[in-house]
Amino acid sequence: MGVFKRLLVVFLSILLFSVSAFTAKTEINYMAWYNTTESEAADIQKTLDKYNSSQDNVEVKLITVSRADYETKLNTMAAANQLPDCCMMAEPMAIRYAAAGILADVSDMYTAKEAPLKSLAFTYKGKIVGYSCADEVLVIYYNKKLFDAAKVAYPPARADKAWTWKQFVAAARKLTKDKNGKTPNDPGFDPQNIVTYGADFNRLGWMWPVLAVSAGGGIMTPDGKKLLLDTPQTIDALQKIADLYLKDKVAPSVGEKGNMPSLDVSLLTGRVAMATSGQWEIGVSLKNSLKDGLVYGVGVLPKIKKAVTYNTGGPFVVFNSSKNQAAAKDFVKWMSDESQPGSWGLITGGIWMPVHMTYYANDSIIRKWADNPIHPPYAEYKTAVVDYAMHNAVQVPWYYFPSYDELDTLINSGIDQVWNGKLTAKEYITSIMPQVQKLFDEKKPQ
Amino acid sequence: MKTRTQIDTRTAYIFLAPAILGLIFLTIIPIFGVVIISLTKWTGLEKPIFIGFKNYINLFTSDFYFFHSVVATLYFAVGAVVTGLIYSLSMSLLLNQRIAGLGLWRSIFFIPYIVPIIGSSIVWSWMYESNFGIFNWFLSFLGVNKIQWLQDERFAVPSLILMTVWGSGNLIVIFLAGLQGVPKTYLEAVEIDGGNSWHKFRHIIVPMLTPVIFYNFLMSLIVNLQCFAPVYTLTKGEPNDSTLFMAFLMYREGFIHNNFGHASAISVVFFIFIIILTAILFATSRYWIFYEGK
Repeated sequence: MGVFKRLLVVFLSILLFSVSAFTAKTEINYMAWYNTTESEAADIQKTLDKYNSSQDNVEVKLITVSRADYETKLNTMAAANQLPDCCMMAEPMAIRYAAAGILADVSDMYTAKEAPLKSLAFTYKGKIVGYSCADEVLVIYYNKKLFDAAKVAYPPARADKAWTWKQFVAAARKLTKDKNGKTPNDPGFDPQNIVTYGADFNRLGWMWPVLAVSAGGGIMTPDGKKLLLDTPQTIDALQKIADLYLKDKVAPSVGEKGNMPSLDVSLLTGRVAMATSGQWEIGVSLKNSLKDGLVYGVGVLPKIKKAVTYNTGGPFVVFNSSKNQAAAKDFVKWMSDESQPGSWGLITGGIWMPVHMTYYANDSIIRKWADNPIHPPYAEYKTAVVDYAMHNAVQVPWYYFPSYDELDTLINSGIDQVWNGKLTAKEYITSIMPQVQKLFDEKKPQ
Repeated sequence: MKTRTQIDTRTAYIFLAPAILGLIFLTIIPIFGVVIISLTKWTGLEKPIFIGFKNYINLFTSDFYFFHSVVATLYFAVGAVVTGLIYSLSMSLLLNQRIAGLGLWRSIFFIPYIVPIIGSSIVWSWMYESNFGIFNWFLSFLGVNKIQWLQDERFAVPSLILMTVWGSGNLIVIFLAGLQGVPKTYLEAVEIDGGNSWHKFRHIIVPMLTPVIFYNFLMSLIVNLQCFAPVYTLTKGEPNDSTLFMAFLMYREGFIHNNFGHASAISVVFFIFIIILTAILFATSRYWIFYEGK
């Protein structure tokens, strides 16, 4: 072959390669978890397929991991410098990663007008490193039929009418029944054979402190600078929750709670008359028992001083190691857009709440996603959940404190001794405070 | 020209090479790696920082979980080993009899050993379930109050021990093999002297089996000290850290809390701890192991 022909072949190859490189889509990796079955991964892939087909610039590849192994997988990938471009992150990990300089600053992702709710921003040293994918708050769910049978007024659906702790316990005592139909108020009540527990105040490590916040305490101050764990308000709140089982006899023991079925079945079968949990239960659990006759209501949490709830939600994050940060941010912004089918399905399905203020602007807009057979009656849901989230929610400390999960593990590692009555709340907190203070001082942002 | 010996030696090294390479890259190098990481503060998210022996000092002076975890691990391991040995020796004696379907019976008792641990853990969790599980059904049948098997710190470790003992089919097989090595003439001699089954067991079978008992004890101890899968599947260290065994503590510190340096220090200390226990076992073995040749 002549020299000219060889040169022509080389030139055409270079041209072809350049054109294909120029027109090839930018590839980014997105990691997410599936909760129960791998078929959920297929649903996430469908959402990604919609994004991929909606534009010609970016191709998103999905990495799915079981929720149980998610932290382990992500930490291992981080140690091996093999992080994806972006991911949905478990809340406790976010600020730890931010403190290590691994998360990109996403403050520039939105204009002030289009940004998600401020309460959903994960911030570290003034920078926003992620927004929750959904707005979730803690509320109380209850079986209306049990309340009607016991002639007890429903838990209030408005924060300004929230039950005091005394009112909450009084209602729970009337709803608790032993195998002979007696309540703790009746002589001969058998606490060893309770068939219906009046109240289950969720004792998960990150959930129970919401009552302490209501009393003016909590785990730490909202700026993450000072511990509040050993304040009288926090100790009192912790003891109050423990006394639901120990003294008031209206709540299951920790052991019994561990063996209880899902929230919808617990309410449906009358195992529990009312229970605190997250907004997500509407779509994850409660809708499953509607066809079996579950009639439930939603209300605001009882208060000690102030009507308060926690808000939370796993953030979408972009990693600094990504070579395509702009594309990753664009994709994450799209994922957070409520109008895209993946998000909209989760919102109307009761699993998520929107993250943008535009979806809370007025009644008719809220009805579009909240007024359907899956959600509780609109009027109740609007005040007990939507207004509650807008006006009474405070952030779980993992929005701003690095390694909150380590602190959470330490605080709650021996807390069963309080739930079971081996130690009082004061004794327990006093015993762990030196360790907690040491860890807090080590981890708090300097 | 190579001699026959040289050719054989070279051939031996070629065949040994995969195993040696595996040992080097999958065992020896990782062990050195863990020791080096234990001398650093490393979250996995940033570069490691050399801190010398600080992780070890913190472990013994201020770690909230370490000593509790050692006690919990020893409680479980000793319980599982002793109960497992008694169970497997008893079963092997029974399975050494001439009964119909002996092969089937031996298979039935061996199967638990080969069932995947995660799957069997989930089934055990159903059996331990306090409202609908079979164990509490049986207790209620006897008129006894139900037990929170995995939620009560008094019962969580014994529950895991029971699960572990159920899976000790490998020990039964090894004991069975050992029983085949007991000379029948010795057993006949006991009969001639007027002895019964207990005398045979006490004076012939047990002494003859002591090397096998030693092997099973040692292997079982090492395996059970490193118990991880049942804790990861069923209890996550709960309730009240009663099942916070060393292996799970290491995993949690490293892969959940991003304290790889601290987790590696726990791993090294645990490794030395197992070596010491093994050395004690070997040192005391000459006082109670009977070797027929001696």
